[in-house]
Amino acid sequence: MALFLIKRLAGLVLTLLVAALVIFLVLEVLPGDPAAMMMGVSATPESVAALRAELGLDGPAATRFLDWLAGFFTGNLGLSYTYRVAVGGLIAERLAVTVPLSLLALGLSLVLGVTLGTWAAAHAHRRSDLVIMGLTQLGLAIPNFWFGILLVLVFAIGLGWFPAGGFPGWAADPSLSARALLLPAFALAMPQAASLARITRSTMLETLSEDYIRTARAKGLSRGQTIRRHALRNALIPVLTILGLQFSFLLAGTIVLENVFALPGLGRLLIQAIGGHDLILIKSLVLFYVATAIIVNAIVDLAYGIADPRLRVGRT
Amino acid sequence: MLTLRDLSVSLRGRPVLRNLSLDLAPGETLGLVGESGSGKSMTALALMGLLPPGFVASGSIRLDGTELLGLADADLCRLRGRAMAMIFQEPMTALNPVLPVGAQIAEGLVLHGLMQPRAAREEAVRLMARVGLPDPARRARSYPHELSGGQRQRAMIAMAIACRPSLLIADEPTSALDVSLQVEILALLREIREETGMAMIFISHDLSVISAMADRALVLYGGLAMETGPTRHVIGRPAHPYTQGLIAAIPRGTAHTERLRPIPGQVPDLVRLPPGCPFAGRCALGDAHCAEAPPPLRTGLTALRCHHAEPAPA
Ligand SMILES: Nc1ncnc2c1ncn2[C@@H]1O[C@H](COP(=O)(O)OP(=O)(O)O)[C@@H](O)[C@H]1O
Ligand SMILES: [Mg+2]
Repeated sequence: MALFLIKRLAGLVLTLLVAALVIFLVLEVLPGDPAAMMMGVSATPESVAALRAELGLDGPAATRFLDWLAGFFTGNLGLSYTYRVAVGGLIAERLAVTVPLSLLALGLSLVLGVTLGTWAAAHAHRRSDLVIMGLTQLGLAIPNFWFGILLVLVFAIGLGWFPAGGFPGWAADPSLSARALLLPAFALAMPQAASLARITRSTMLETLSEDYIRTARAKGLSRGQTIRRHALRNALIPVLTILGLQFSFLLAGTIVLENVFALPGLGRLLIQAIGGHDLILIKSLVLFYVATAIIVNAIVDLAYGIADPRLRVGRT
Repeated sequence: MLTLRDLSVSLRGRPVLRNLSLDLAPGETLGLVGESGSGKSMTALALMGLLPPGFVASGSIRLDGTELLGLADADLCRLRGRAMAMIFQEPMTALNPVLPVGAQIAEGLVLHGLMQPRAAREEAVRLMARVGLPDPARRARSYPHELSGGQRQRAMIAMAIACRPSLLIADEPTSALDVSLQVEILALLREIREETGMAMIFISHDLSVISAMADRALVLYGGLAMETGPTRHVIGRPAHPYTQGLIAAIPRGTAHTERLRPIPGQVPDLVRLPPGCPFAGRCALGDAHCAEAPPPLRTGLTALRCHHAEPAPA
């Protein structure tokens, strides 16, 4: 078991390194000198060179790559040109929006997707199944930013239950901050919930035709008890494998929805960094997104082994 | 304790099982025998009220005086696993792969309100010891894939007898096992039957297994009870051409000198049965009339349904 974990961990680290290298090289070959861009057109070659030295842009590429990686552990990721503040601090501050937003969306999509999918499977080919499957078609077809705007029109502007956008900050107003995340989380969760519901329905239907389901019924369990105690966990094991992929989509969705709802999260920071050609910031942000997706997928992989005892290693 | 009267099962109006009647006394074992596809499992599932979607049962099933047909599922749930329990053929797939074996055995005891969870877990270990599982305390925490086929079938038996049912339906409990295991499991089932005095419906396609287990035998073919009577008469003095064919098909002697005479032809699909005798097409005595009209019931030493054959006089 320990050996297995070490191998998986080594594979994970290697993947992360390759991802970092690719991001670094792509931004390295892109045209444009960050220092020249910061100084503007009127700058003298001497002052640009001085700034390059100050920003650590004049060393050899290998050194700069290693310095950048080390920055993820020391927190020293360099200065953002547009914000003129440390990139590390900027990212940390924005996580306070993006992390709760994505976790909330993930939780919502899981609860909605699994509940609706299970209900549809338990009532297969009946009216409620048809209605749920129709809704999931709609959920998959509607772009989530459009759904987000619809939610704002109805629940923020129309009913006034939620703020239409913006984020007061957790320290300033925790309850308003939480409410500010609810609509975007819902919009973000919708397509994921729709596809989770469809997948859950099909794995649940398959599970319900298994022999051990009949065994459970022969024991005296009702249909509902059988689904909850015997079918659900088996049906969710294949769902778990695609959860990592779902999370990657969800993370990409936060970039769009943070902009729709004017939330000061990582996604909004990324769009602003791209607009300002803030290469140092872009580099670290992109790696942050990629690393999160890779790590979440690795965690899902491990969870898969825990959920399915047949895959547990080193046990007899 | 169990009385079946004209139990029929149909799928979209087409008959699958036809007019099955039988009586089972407490402690008695009925052997249900027939080739694969004859409707043996379908009969067992009809008794448990667990027919696949689309299949409808009619007639009467009375268990200890309670009519089961037409009972709401919630009421059947109180009987399943408690008054009547079932062992399935495939030990590989009949256990839930993600739950420990002990928990699956204990589940029924708690469900039927016989024990608290803690006591049920202890009882599960005792039951596992009773069915001959080695190191039961540790095995209770094992998952099904960590057990061999024979051990899983023992666990299945422990699960089925946990609530001390008065009727146990065993659907080919040994057909998936090799011969030496088969003998052990049959011996175990006989022991448990002696201890508990439960009645049993024992299903097998193998007449030699039926003769080792059953007081009475019912030969099923094409969803119709072909011949029924005391096992020794059904096997010793079979009158129905189908029963005779089955007995002729039993392998005899050693592997080298095996004299096997399988019945020519194929088992009809249960959902596409002819209106008359389902065996007509394969039967040496069969004629045009056989396939048209349901065969009459004739009683003697055994009871049989045939247009031509007569039972030996009682
Ligand atoms: N879910 C089902 N849908 C349609 N037909 C079925 C289904 N289950 C069983 N059958 C039919 O029942 C027959 C098998 O009956 P079964 O009771 O399993 O036979 P046995 O147990 O004697 O081998 C097959 O001919 C098959 O066509
Ligand atoms: Mg069968």
